[in-house]
Amino acid sequence: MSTRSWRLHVRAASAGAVAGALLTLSAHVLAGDRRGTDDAARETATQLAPQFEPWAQPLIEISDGAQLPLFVVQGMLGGALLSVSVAVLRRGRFDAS
Amino acid sequence: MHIVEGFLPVRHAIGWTVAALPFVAVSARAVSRRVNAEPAQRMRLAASGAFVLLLSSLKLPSLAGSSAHPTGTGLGSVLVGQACMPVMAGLVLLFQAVVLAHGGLTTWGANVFSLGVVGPWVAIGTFRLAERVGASPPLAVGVAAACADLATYACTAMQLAWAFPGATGVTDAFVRFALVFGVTQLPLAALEGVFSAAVWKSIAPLSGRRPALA
Repeated sequence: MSTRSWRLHVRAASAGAVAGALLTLSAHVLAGDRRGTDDAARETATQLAPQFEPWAQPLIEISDGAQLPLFVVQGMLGGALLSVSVAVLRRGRFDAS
Repeated sequence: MHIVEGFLPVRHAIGWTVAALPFVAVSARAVSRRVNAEPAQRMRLAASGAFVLLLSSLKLPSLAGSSAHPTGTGLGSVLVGQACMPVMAGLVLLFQAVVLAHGGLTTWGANVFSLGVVGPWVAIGTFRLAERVGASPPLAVGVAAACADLATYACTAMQLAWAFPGATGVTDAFVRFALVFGVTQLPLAALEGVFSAAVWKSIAPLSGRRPALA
């Protein structure tokens, strides 16, 4: 990989990671304390089958405070990868034309 | 659409995993064949997977006073084909179950079935139908992504209704679960359609090929 493409990838990944982080953060801030539909569905299931007991627990317990940073990391990963792939696809087509 | 860890009866959890696994296996083979046949497809596959990863990290507020995640599988289905999506959805759901405690390993099969199988098939069907009736490609992609989002949540509602029919039966339970998801998801699906069309536009006009058949 040439230095020029390497730089393009790093720039695209950084920009995508920042955009992904900002997007995830602002979505969470806007959502605030609104209840997620996953929780609402769980509540409905409990009303329909009050005797049902969940038979497995998540592998790790994540506190409310730690959840947001982890989602931001996921957003950063997605943003970085999306940005690099879009940049490469666009450059490939530009070079071909 | 993430059914919480341990929140499906054991038989249902096993049944959905058994139902999802063949799709994941065929999908892994489709991805591998696609990359071997045309290495340039790697970037389209990466973009599709990244889009699912990015969109499923967003907890978006809705007009209904609740929040939910978009799905992101509609764009990938149009870009690389619906056959490639189960493995991508499976990986994202595995990441979320293990790292974020979101969804779960026991409900992985059910979640893969709704996110990676039903959503993408509805997306590609809607895309082809929209093209046939003369919709512009960005509009077709947007409508396909929105329908995939709604279909994914409809499938989750069906899975939960089947598992928890209550005293009034599966149909009534489905209506209850569909209302829980539907009211929130309608505006988010429209938003996902717009976002998917925008990303598709940034890639596809330079590709010179019909996206779904690329």
